[in-house]
Amino acid sequence: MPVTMNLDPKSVGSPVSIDREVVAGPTPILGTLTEVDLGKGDSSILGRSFGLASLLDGRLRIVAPIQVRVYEDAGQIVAEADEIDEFGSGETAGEAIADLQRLIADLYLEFAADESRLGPGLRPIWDILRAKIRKLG
Amino acid sequence: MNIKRSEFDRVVDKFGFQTRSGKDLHAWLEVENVVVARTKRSHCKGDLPCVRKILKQLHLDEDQFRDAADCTMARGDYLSLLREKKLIA
Repeated sequence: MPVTMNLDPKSVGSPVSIDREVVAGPTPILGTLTEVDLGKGDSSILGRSFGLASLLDGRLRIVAPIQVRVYEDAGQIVAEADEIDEFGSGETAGEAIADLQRLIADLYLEFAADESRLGPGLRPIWDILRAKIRKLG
Repeated sequence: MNIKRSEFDRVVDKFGFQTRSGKDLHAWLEVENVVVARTKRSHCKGDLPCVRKILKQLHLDEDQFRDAADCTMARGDYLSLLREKKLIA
């Protein structure tokens, strides 16, 4: 079930508050989930996909959700954004998602600065980042 | 497939990736001032997570990574592979 998640940067950790948009079939159902434990044992998060809708960087805004899958691998929790070949990791789902948020922001800023030097394997990633993220100001 | 930190480090070093250490070890390969590949590994102990993604970022399959880690694939072989995949002009 696709879910759009807004992680509040001030509440990263466990438990954290998130807003989520749950899409059931063709009809989006808006709802708010608060005090959700994104800890290692949270089976409601692990193995599921989300549309990431915010980054931990006030300079950047996501305008189209980035699909993220959260799962356990090699004793770590991984948050993977397959479409941009990026992943974050941590001891908890909250840590892994926050790590991914930071990495995506860093990746956007690095690619923006180095756009003319990106090789053909990285340009498609930059195209996706540019389409889904806006730099403010 | 499992990859240890030391194997990752050996491969990116041998292939000439530049590295920057922060929360993770970031590695990127520049050829003629063009960034052609980027990857990273965590500092966690034991096997690295997300091996499938690391291999994809390196543009290698499991056998090719193993060859690289076992020293039978050199930097020149790797660059030839990237040229075959049209990732280097």
